[in-house]
Amino acid sequence: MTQQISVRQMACFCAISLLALKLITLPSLLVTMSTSSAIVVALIMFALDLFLLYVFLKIKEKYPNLSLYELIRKVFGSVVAKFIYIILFSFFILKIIMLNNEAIAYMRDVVDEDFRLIVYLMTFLPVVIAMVYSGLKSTARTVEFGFVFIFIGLIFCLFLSEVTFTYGEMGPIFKENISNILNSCKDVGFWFSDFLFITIISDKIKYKKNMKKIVFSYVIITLIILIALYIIYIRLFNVTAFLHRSAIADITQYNRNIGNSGNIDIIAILVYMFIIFFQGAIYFTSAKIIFEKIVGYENKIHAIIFITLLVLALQLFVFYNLDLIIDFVVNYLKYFGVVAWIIIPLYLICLLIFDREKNNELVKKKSKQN
Amino acid sequence: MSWLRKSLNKIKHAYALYYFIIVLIIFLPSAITIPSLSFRSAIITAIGVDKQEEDVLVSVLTLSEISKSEMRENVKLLQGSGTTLANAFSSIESSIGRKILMGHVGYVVISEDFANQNVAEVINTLIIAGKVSNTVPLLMCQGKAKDVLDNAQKMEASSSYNMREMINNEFNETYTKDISIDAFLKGYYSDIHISTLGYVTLESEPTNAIDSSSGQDNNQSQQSSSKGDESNEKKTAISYKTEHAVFSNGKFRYLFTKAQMQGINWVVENDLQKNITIDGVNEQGLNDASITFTISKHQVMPKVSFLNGKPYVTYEISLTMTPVEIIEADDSVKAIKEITLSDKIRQKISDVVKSDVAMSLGVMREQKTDVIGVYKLLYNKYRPFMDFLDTLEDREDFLKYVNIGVDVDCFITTN
Amino acid sequence: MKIIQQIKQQLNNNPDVCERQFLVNGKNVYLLFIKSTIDKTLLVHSVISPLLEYGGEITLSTLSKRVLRASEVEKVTKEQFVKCLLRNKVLLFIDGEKDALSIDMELLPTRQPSEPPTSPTIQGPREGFTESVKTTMALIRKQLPSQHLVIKSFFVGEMSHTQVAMFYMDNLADKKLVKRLEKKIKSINTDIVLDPHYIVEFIVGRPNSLFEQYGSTEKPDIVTAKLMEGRVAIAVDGSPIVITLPFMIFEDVQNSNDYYTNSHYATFIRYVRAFGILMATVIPGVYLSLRLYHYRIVPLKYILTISATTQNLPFTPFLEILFILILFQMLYEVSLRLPRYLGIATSIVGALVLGDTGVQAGLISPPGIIVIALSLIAVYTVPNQAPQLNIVRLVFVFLGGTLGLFGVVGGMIYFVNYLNSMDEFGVPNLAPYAPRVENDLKDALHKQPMPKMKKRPKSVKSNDDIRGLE
Repeated sequence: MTQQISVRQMACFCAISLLALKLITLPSLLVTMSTSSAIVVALIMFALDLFLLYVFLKIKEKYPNLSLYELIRKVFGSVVAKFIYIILFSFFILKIIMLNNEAIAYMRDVVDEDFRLIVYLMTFLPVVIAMVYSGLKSTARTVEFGFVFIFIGLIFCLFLSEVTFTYGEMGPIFKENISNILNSCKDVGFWFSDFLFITIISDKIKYKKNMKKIVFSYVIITLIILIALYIIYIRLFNVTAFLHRSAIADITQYNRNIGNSGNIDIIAILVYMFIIFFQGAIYFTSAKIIFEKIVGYENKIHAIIFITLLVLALQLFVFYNLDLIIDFVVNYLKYFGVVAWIIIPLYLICLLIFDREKNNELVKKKSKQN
Repeated sequence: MSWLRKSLNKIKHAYALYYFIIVLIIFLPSAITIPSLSFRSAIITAIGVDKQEEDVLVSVLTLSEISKSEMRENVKLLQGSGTTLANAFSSIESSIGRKILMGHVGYVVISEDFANQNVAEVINTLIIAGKVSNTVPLLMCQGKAKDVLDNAQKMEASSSYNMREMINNEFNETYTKDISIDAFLKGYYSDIHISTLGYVTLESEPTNAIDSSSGQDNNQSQQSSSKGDESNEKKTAISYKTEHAVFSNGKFRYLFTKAQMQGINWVVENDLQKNITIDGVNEQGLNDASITFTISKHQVMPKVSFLNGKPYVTYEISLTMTPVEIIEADDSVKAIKEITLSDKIRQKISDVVKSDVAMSLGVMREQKTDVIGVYKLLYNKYRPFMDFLDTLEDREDFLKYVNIGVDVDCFITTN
Repeated sequence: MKIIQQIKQQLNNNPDVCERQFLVNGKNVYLLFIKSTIDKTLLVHSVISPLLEYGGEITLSTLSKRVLRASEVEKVTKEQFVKCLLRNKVLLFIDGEKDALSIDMELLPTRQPSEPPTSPTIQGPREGFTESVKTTMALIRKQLPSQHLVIKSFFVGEMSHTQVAMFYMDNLADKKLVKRLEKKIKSINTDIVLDPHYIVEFIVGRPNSLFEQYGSTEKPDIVTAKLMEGRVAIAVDGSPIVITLPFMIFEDVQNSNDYYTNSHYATFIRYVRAFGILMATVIPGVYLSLRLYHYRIVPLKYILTISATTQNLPFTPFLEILFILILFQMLYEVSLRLPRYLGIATSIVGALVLGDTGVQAGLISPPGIIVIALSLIAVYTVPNQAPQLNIVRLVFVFLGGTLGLFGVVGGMIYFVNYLNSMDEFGVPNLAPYAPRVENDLKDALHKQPMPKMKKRPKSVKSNDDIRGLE
């Protein structure tokens, strides 16, 4: 029995993915890299992400019952498909590590200076594993349930930050030249391209006619909030951005009127904690599905054990702090990310344009099997 | 493997329960035995930094334990010194045997002699290592920071007056510019490296001083003193003025006096309460009268343009005001009647504002410090501004070559 | 008669098993019954006196057709004799006939329907079920005189042979669900059934689960409303509790009062209840985590207040909270169990002696007491969930004390996910919020007025979506 999730649930997944890695270090990184042009870089990347999302949804419409693996296998055979999936697997594992490191840095920065790694791992991993173990359906429901609180919390964060828009403080938007902007786009690519998970779970999403409308409405509303937060961030911390590595908390902390009666940034803290778990579950589920495709059989316990051990090993011995993973990602992963960024989307676009007839057979076969 | 499978099967329905038990086994012993965080550590509410010969002298106010009946902040002054700020803090930690927590610091005071070295490094230490919030006000004081904290502590012990609350609540009504740590750092890391700090002084005062708890009015200095007659020492009071200490490259340069600040007040939008007085009004039935207006709304719209490669900045100031006091030449106070803003009155108001601004500008140009953010305004027109800067010999002196004008527009409201 | 002796022996010659012999028209007629469970007056009027006056032919069929003035008379064979007797029937034997007549004369001690103590109403129906399943049937029939109402009866329990009644509307309820429940009830293998809770654990998919997977009520109006949404109700003889399936957790946030009051108020009070659940479970854990690890989040004023009141306590925060929690839980349990006239005494001991003196003696702190008391009271905004919420609270106390706020948030997500993974009867536990069911949101936390609720909840599968005529 395949566990199918609804389009709305997938929209929540997308919205969470949009937020997860972009609320902590990314704004700081962007501003440090390209100063006041940061917003341009962010907008370019968001636009690119939206375009990818559109492509992925189109693919889902065209091949409702196929995931990326079957789509690659269809043309290139299973060896290439497995190879691509191995790259994607490491991509998602690194994303989990990045999420972990950002979360730990954030917790130390905002909640508790002595926040221990073991406390994080002993909370994060079991909860996420429980979510993955209970299946995509219940994970999706949990995310759907929590999304309302995240959304309200985000809006609250937005209002908590002193919203006094004066253009002057943004700085000149087009200060950097195009090549610099493109360079920083390339460097921060890893923090984007989160919608890739759709192609991996695409055979587990119930097809609905107005799918694109629902997904885009969720994503765009979230994106508007996110961009608003970015603008506030850049406005507030243009030259001191390197000191503000926990964007969402720093933004809410900045409200001086409440600073005296206590830190209401607990809302930001809770919102981000929810996001950590949800996004962790999304990455973990994607990694699990990829793992099952690579090894060729479905056994969630094996997959979970393998991924957990891998994450633990990488977390404890290789990327044990945020700077290490950021360095790795910025310096090496840009070549690596080519697969996620260029090859897969290009291939999918080609499929959309050129593949006209063959797919129907496959779709029918698959649906008969089900 | 079969035993593993069997035992796994046994606990299959209660993975979570067994995991929970493991968590308890690992963490519970320590969790049960640790006392609450407020007893393991000292929570600091204020920091003062002084220079003591070659060392750094740090004074902190910590919350001390108090009886149940008094829920007031009861603070204790602790001191420690070391070659660096971090060393000074650890010397305090070792003297009280507790860890210092800086998350609730309400303000930071640095002394004038300490400010002669680069303050930014110290501030960075505070916010990166100590996690002091960026929004905390940063003040420079005349004399010793230690004395300021000492006085603040005495005040808090003897009255409901609380310096931390006062500074936090009202600093944008007391100071023209943002005086938070973040504002300081922003100035420091900007291209011109100019930043401003709030300024406090310690003043001796007459013995029967008034206890001030409101702290609303800001043109006068806030005063308070320890009421108790147990000490015979010289009574002092902390006085905030609207003065700002100007820093360049993280070092103290000079002080903007209250009068010099007036011009800055006009071109920087803020919440300060402002009055404007014009003299020699001879119209609308008045004879050589002076009229004082209170500004109820103050809007500033800076306009930037480049003509022949030269930058022009015009501050369009719009003032909405109410007449509050009319004094005629013979010193008789007139009942306030409706006054219409004639061209003459407008001109007078405009002149007052312009002369204030000109005075402040004079100081800024002389000291080569751009306090009002002209650089930032021009920076938005990035290319022409850079071209302009390239024509200059001394970039720091750019302010001299910028034409700054003021346009004043007035409206009147009657209450 | 030999068979009578045998039956008596089978029933251990118990003193309340009575035998009565007549000579009617020259033939011996025997009556056998358990005297404690039948209506003797009725027996005399409708069986004994007609028999004694009768002078015609004596066979089972003529007696049943012409003589006996009872409402239910049935011919039974030898194998059923004991069973009939145990189900409070009177057996009538005739010399020389193998079979017997079973006559319904049941009279058991029951109480009158009254307002159930667990769910009082302010404005609205006050009737509640009683321990007799017949009353339950009667009350449901009274509320729902419909040709579509189906009542199925089973006898469960090797020893008790308890009557279990299943109610549903044949035009609304999901046929698959009905079949499945029937099958499960029939397959229950147990000695005795005293209450629906005895059988429900055989029926639900995860009997080991911490959370309830069924709704329970004592009120016919609630059962009727739920039947009309396509649910199935199960009643057991001997208990006033009726269980409804399938179940969603938000049913417990709703209350029958909500439907008898202004819908705006109902909405408001439902949000209060939902908030109550959050308070009840999380507050002590969060308080503990803040005291132990996260001073930054707590405003300075609160740190002052808390440290002023807790500075001389002998216990560490964790032990203090645990101590107060167990103390209060004990007091609660005691006040439930004690006879009513002793209740006042315990509340005095609990509130004054333990609470107040504990604070004055410096053993426990006022903030700790406030937090725990708040949490304990908040549980009863949703009384049906109280037992499991008490356990969840304890879990959160441990999580907050050991893993801090992050642990508490992790625990919250774990429990939400756990609830979401339970959809045994195809009904998501947290519907209509996860998954979002647009139609059902009209009567979830937000309650719309009745005329707007034209459709039945979609989360519960039913065969007819529209309420009333289409």
